Amino acid sequence: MGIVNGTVDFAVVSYAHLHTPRYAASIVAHPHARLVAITGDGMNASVARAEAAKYGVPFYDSYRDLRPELNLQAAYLGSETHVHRELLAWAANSGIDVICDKPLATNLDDARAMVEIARQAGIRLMVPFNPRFQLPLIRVAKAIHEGEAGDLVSIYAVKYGRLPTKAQGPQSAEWFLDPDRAGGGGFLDIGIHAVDALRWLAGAEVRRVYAHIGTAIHPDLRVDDLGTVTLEFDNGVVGVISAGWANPDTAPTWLEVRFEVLTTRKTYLIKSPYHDLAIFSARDATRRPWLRKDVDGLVDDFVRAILERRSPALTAEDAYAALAIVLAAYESARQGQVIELE
Amino acid sequence: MNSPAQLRVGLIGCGNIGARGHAPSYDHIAEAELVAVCDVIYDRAARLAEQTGAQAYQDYRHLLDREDIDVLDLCVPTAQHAPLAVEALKAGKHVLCEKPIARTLAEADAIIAAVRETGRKAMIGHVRRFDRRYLEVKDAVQRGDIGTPAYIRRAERQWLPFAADAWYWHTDAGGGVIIDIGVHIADMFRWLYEQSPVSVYAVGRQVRDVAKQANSFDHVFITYRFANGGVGLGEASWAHPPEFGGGFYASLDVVGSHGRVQYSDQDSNPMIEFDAKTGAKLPQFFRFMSTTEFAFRDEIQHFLDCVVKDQDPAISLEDARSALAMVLAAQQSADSGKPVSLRLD
Repeated sequence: MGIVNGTVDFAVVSYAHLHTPRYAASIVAHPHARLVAITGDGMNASVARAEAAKYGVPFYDSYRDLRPELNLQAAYLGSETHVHRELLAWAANSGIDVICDKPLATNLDDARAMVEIARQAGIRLMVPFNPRFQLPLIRVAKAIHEGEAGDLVSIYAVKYGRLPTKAQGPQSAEWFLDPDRAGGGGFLDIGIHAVDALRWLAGAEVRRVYAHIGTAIHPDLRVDDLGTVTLEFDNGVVGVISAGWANPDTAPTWLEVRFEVLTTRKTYLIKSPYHDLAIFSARDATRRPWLRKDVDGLVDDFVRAILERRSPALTAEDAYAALAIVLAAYESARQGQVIELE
Repeated sequence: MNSPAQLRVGLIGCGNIGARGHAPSYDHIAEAELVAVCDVIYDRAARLAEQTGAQAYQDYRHLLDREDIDVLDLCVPTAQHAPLAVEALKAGKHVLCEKPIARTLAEADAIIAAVRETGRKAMIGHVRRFDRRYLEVKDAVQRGDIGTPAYIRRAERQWLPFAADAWYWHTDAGGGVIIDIGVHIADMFRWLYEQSPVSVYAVGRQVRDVAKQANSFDHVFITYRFANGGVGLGEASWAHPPEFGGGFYASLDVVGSHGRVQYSDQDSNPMIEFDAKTGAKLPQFFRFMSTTEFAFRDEIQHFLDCVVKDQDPAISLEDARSALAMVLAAQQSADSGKPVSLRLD
């Protein structure tokens, strides 16, 4: 990492997403970023207000109250997914670069429009996909892209979380279970990270998609909770993903993430994205990461991209491509057929 | 009572599974005696005869002619299963036959018809069903520990050591990774779901040079959808690096409505071994990387018990036929790039 000068002033917009507190903390901790405003758009406004007090920054009810005098350069958008387009339009008008939490939109029309809005305004639009900044995958990506591992053959990825509404803490995650606000269920929520990881590792685009996605575990949900998809890339790489809200309450981690990678020279079995340790309390047994570089890595790359006047590691096109693949998987599951992508 | 063996067994096929998997099991089964071993490569039969005290043969017809033989244990290449099994049944022998049941469904039907006609017993050695780790998983599912199973992921992966001319690589001989390994996965899905699939989709790749020479997939992902909505994702591979197999061969993950069961060779292995030259390794505790010798023993014991007590084997020929139908459809899907519908039962 080179030395950069300057500071990027951030607003954190909305605590609807469970990830918002983590991004706020990472922005506050970054040596070249400054948190200057928090807004309470959408759900969990009281949490947003409490966080603003904790960090000693002004709280606003809505992004509409953020005045030009704040001279914002960047914003993290943690709203319900269906509001992303409206927030992005505001950011584009204001010339503000954004980290917009995933997925980009609930549908491809909105996603396409957002990419175009960002392009025309010349703002950075990054959807943060954590695997790009997880140490085991960075190691594998390097071995593949620099040739040490030979050619990539296939990747099998597991990403299971618990039902978001089971998260501890003051935030409500009820909107994650609403198809209109979230755009999909567990497969979209969690699987999209793996889709992006596979695009990144394969260094290619998906051509064929076949999936089964359904409400397999929580029969009362209005959205899916588990899916499996087979992806074929234009360079012959096969990607298979199992993803959803399949982790039982008794699992020792909130997330289970595994990647199994076959190349013409090596096999990699990644059993966790993080270095962790076990804690056995009187209540339960958990594994907790003692090193999580991913959110800090995403924020750091974004801040440096602004200061170095370059694109961030993840572009608007990456965000669109990942959503297009996930939505093609839903379409495949509906039709029971292979979906071919352009 | 120090009774003599009740059943006399002839083993046909003294290759890997026959000589190393099945033959040693008879030493541990009180009611059976291995009296004859046969292989087209006579030296292999002779070597095994020396170890077991059985008589060696090159021509299987001598075993059919021996009236003292009650049971024939067939460990021959897949394409030979049906012709041999039918002939053995018609010669009045009970038949234990390696998986898959046959190369084609018509051949499988011929075995089923021969059993009906002769009243002899036959079972296909779907040995995973006798493997204690998978019996534990099955028990957990049956007890309801994880609610209703909704998604099963199974992987069987190694580096196949055989050259391109070995029958294992050739689908017309009943080989290829989809049929030879996939049939274990297919049967495990049916066993755990207690359902048959309605569709299958498979993507295969030729990774190693030997697979390209044989024009046969060595790496495949197969997705089955079951009548109850359950999904089974199978990964069968012969394309991993040579040292991969032993400590890493298998994994099984059953996601249920109220929990999960997870097994992997890697996580289950109780030790790591260090060596100055090769570094850290997970040791292999059993003769085969895929199966414990106890599983072969229990499988053979079960079949012989069924013969002695005149009971139906736990794995029916229809089960074995369904597993074959599943992998033939998977092969068709991988060859065509399209999902294939299945109508079983």
